[in-house]
Amino acid sequence: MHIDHNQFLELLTETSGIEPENVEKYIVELTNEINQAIKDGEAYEIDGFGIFSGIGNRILFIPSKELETEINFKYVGMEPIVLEEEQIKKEEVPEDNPFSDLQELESETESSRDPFAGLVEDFEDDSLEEDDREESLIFGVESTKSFDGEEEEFKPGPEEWGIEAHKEDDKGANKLLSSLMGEEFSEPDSEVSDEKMDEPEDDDIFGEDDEGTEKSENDSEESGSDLDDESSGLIAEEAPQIPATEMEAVLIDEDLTDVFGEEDELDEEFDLDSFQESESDDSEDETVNEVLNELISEDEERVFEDKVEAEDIDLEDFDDPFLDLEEDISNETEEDETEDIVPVITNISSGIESTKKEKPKTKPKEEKPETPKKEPQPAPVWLWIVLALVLVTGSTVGLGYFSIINIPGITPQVATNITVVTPPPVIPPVQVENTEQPPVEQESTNPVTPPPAQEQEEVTEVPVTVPVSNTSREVPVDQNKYGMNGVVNESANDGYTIVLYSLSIEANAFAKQQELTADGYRALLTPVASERYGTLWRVSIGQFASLTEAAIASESMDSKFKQSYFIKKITN
Amino acid sequence: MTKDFLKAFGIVIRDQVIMKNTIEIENLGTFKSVHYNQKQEKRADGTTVMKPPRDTIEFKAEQKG
Repeated sequence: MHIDHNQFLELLTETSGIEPENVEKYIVELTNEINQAIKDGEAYEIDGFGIFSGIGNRILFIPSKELETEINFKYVGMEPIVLEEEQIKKEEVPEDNPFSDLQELESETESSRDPFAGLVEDFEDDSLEEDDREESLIFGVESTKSFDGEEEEFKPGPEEWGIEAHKEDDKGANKLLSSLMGEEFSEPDSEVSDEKMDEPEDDDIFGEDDEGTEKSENDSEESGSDLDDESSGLIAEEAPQIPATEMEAVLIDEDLTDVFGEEDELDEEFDLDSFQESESDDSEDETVNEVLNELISEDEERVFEDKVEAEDIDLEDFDDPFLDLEEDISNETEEDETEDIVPVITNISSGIESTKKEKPKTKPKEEKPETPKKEPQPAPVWLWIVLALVLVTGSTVGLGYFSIINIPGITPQVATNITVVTPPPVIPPVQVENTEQPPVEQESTNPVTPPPAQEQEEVTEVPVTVPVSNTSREVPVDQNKYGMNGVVNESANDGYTIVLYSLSIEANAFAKQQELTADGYRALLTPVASERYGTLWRVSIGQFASLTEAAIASESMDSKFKQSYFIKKITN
Repeated sequence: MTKDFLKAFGIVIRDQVIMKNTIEIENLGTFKSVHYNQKQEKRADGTTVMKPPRDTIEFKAEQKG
């Protein structure tokens, strides 16, 4: 409400009892004095009211302590209330974010590295490797299938190829080789070699030298007999010690190096001379015996090797038609390092075609080292299992943390605290006497075991300040003990109430109480003794079990009451 | 201008302020009441207290010119 100047003069006239003309005169004098003091830079004080002072063009008013106290007289006796722990918890719980830790973890996991990156990379690598393996397997199978018909001719692998393939598959070729390289090597093979020597290719290859070879074969048979006499013991001793495969391997390496190596050039002259002598004269046996004697004088291992060299001598004693071919092949194979030595053996048996078939040999070479790579395949399976376990555990922990699953130690206790700390407001259901008044606390009214009427009668309180009941109405039986509306229940005076007015005149306070009661509120009129102001009459509404419930109820009050109210315990 | 006038001047303004009314005085300004609701404050010792409400009087000088 706004009091203008005229109304103020009327009130001032009524209060002071001074005539209106004088009142107008005095008020003008007062305002002039205040303005003049402000202009002069001074302050103007009215005893018991306050001080007018100026800062620049602005006028400030500082109320006196008496006026401050009188204005707040309705709050007399009000002191700061220490909230209970439960109330503090309840206020702190909404601020406490139970998911803050999780959010921090998520931020850490987001900012941190991706745990699946390595797995994905590994998986990609593995998948690539598997693809390569599959491709290689596919190609390997296809290659083996495609070369099934040629497996006898093509030998897999470089190192193991030379030994096993030569042993298993090229027996005929070895026999041929042995026959070609020297009949002295072994008499039983000489027959086979003689048969194979009769083949047209060999005939074509050796050409005119067949007769010489036959002679040399005959000679070799004779010399072989001599060898049997002298060196058979050595060979017999050597044979069980050295497996046939190793012997053949030795043959392969050293024979080839001897055949195609540099030693050939060194031995050619001597070999040719000796061969010519052995071929023309009957003293072949003597030369052979001399050579054998020299061989016998050496170590047992070297004997065998020298014997092979002697065979080489016999081989190269021929006008070897393979020299040109072998040189060409050796030139080609020297470029392919040591592996190229092995194919040369097949070249001897299979001829030129084998050189063309060297390329497919490289494919089977890739198969054997790749097949063991299938063994590390369980590694990605392990990774997938670990990944699945991590996901399962993480999901369960997450569900437990979000209280979807109750996992002790993981499920946050805050949630349980919330349920414990936040009981439903104990506000009795509203009994609206005045139907025009809208129910204010309908939502928060939960009947909580209303005490029986007998108990209410038994409750006898001796409050310091007892609210004065303005009505003689009896409390309905079905009314809750606490609430905003209804009839004042004296047994609920141990709670809190919302003070709306504090008046020094009892009649005015009583009028306000009646007005509120007519509106359906539980209106209380409580006298408060004050040494300074005498007795003050507080008009309040509602009876609440706790301060929190009163505060909740105050939020739903009428807007005209929200401007100035306070919550206070009913009985001090 | 007597003491009774000054005393009545203070009483009238106080009562009207208590009644949440605004008082306008010519050539001086306007008085009005300002209410501060009760509020919670956390003390240094960790305890939380509910401070009582408070009313104050506010003066606004008349705009001259």
